[in-house]
Amino acid sequence: MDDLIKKSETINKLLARYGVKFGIYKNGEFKEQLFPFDPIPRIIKHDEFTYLEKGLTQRVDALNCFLADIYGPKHIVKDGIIPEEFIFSAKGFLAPCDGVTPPKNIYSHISGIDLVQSKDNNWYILEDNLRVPSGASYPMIARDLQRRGAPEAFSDNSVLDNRNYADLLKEVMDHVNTGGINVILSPGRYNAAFFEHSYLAEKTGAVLTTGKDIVCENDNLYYIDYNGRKQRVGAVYRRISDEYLDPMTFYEESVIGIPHIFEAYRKGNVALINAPGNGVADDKGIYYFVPKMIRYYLSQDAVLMNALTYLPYYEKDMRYVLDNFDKLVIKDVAEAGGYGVVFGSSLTAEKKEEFIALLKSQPRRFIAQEVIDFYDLDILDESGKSVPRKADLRAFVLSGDTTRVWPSGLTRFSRNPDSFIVNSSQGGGFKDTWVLSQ
Amino acid sequence: MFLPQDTARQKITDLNITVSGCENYSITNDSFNNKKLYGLIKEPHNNFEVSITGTAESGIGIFDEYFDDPYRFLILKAQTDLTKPGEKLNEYRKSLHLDEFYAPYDKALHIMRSLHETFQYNPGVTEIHETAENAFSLGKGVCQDYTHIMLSLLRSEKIPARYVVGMMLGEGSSHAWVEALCRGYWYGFDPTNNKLVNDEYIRVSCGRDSSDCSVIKGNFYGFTTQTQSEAVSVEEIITKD
Amino acid sequence: MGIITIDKCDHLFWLGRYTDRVHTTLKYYLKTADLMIDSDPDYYSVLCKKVGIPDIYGSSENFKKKYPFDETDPNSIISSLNRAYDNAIVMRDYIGTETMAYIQLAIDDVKTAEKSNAPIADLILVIDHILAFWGCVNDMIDDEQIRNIIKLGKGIERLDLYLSLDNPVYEVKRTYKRMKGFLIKSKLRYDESIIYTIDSMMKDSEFNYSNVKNLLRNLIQE
Repeated sequence: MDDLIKKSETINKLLARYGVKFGIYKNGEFKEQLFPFDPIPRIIKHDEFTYLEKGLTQRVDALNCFLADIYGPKHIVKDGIIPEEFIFSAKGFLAPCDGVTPPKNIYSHISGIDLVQSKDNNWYILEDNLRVPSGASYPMIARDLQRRGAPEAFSDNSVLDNRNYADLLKEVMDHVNTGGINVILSPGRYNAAFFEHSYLAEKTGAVLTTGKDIVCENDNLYYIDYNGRKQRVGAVYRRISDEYLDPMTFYEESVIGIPHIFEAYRKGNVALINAPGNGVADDKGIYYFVPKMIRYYLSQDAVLMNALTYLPYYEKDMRYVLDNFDKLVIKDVAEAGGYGVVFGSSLTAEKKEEFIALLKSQPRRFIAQEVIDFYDLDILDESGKSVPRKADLRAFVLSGDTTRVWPSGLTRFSRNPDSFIVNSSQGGGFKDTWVLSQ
Repeated sequence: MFLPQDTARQKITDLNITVSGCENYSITNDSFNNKKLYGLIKEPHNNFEVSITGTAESGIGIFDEYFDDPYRFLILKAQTDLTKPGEKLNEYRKSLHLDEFYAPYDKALHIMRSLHETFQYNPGVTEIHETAENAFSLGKGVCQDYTHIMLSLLRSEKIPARYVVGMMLGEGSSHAWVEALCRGYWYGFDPTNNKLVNDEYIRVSCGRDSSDCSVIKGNFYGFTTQTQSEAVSVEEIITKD
Repeated sequence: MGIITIDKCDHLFWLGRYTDRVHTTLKYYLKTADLMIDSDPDYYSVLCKKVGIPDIYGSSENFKKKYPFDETDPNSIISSLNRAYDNAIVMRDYIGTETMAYIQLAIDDVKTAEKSNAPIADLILVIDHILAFWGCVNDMIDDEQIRNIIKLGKGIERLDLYLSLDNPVYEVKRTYKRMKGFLIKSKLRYDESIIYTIDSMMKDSEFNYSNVKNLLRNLIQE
């Protein structure tokens, strides 16, 4: 590990050489930035990973059951486990998906589950990302380059190779493919995660497209070459959000989607990875119910804990939230990416009153959580000194023939000592995540 | 574009479809079980026409559909951005004393009658995608606004209800009305005309609100201005019993 | 891979063109910088005229500083290199991260040279990395058609510049011949009558450069 620290400059040079960047809009202008990389890896011991693997597999399986149920028979609502208000009026619930069964009945093929570790060494689920979770490419290429830059670090430690992500992804695409080529649908060069789109295309052998070359005819999807020849598309790993996917079904003004792609999907003629409509299962309101889902669908107790969460929607919880406002963190259900998060203790008396009024008028819009005492990870600061910072872990769970947890993950950290926000769009960096093989 | 289809109340025959510049269209069903025609014209063109003719036998039944599983329609109990009530609509609902009625059908009937009294028909006041709350505050609007307001009230009463687009005898454009789920039966209520939907109505499509079931919808790529027109003509053929 | 769409053809073709534009204009810039030392201090205006870009530089010093490095000038060498990058990044799945890295390295070279105390000498590294890029294209891209479309772009750009820069006839002829080879192997549609015309023009020991330039413009068909 010292080797990694000593050679961090070499590794950063390699990362720059291979264009490991993400895009960001500043004052309306698109800029690409290197994703700050910290050389000290997060290390997950073998036993710990086995435990995480069990919990994550179970969670994603239950979430997939939930999605199939909600867009199908809706038993969980009939049985009163989840109130219908949390589902059918949620932004993420997409009526056009009702009654549509995706190929092999898989909804969330690639799930990005965000976890944190507390000071007492417990893991907590922070949130589920079942729409288009991004970030796997960064640790994948970083590992490749570190092995070149600091080989001893890997010969001296038994670290599971994480460069098989592309193979896992390809297996998932092939498993749900309905007969045709695999494509990766990107909004284009000026998307924040374009590096990832193009890198995963290269590594999985899927065709990278912005959709301009794809048409839907007679409920089938085709890719058209320069001679006008058509080739059927069997699976689309789409990196554009549901709203923009099909202007004829969702947001009419979308110019990055493929008109009528939803019709091919509805007929079962193409797999969409991930399925549209998954947003109903990963909003912060539904989060509260995931342990109940695990019990309901799998008859198991949840292995991994949620952060202790209250739903002001329930009167009892609302009373608790009001009585303990200062020690809780309140989150807006509709927001993501670190936005819409309020620490009760951080508000002035006036702001607090305002916020409570809002909470009372729209209880369904918020959840409240106990603040977790984070276990901080060391990073190297600019002077090369190691300092503790807040960090989370995005675990990637791939659902194809079986459900598998990628033996790595994206560890993001905040570079600011006072911040909990680890998102790259807000200045965060990333680390490699080692899973030890013994 | 949506096509009329058979229901318990109507039977469609001799459907004839012509689409300019496109022989290769497809027909599919959407998640509200509407029959939908769609296609793509790749060649450059400067006009586009669709014409659909056919015969509808209507008034076969008094409801449109029957289902014994009420959970199927949970979606239609949830308000949408267009039907979500605000202060004015909630006040209005209270003033209707709907708790005095027990059956969903009676509630719907009462809402239809009261709304027809309260709200005024006046084109050109409301916008294309006006919310029920805004339209109600303005006090006047068109069939779309009547329908959205009635949907909002029904859903607040936990009665599944859907927006229906269709045609009426002698009208020059499409019409909209409400269907409410009453003990498994979908009945049509037309608050604009204060009428129960009968043999004068031909049903085309339905959805949560107007944005789900606009009769025709499309995109084109190019720099140009466009005009669009729609004509609906329904003539009566009387057959002997 | 196998499937190349119209858009992808375009990107490959322009990747080749911009990469060679950087290479050829940079070599000419080095020659110009040399001439400006003592023999012709204002030679830069000749370069502008020949390459067909507006002379916005005002002085040879300013030209030396701006032409390779100014990202706000769309005709600068770095701007051409950025366009090459734009076309490369969307083709990562076809050309590979390894190949792409050389465009990135060339960009980094220009940035380093700009800050160096011997900028002109350090710009040589850009040529090193561009040549490495072409080596990588040959070595790492398995699909022959993809290679040939990129090289067709390179061939057309170089021919166009040689014609503009009044390179000797034998160089123009040699460049034309190589370009023609890539054109045929690229399997793109082109106007055969143009090739026929240029072929017969080149039988002569001298021919009108600007006529050839104009003919080339319509060579490749959509």
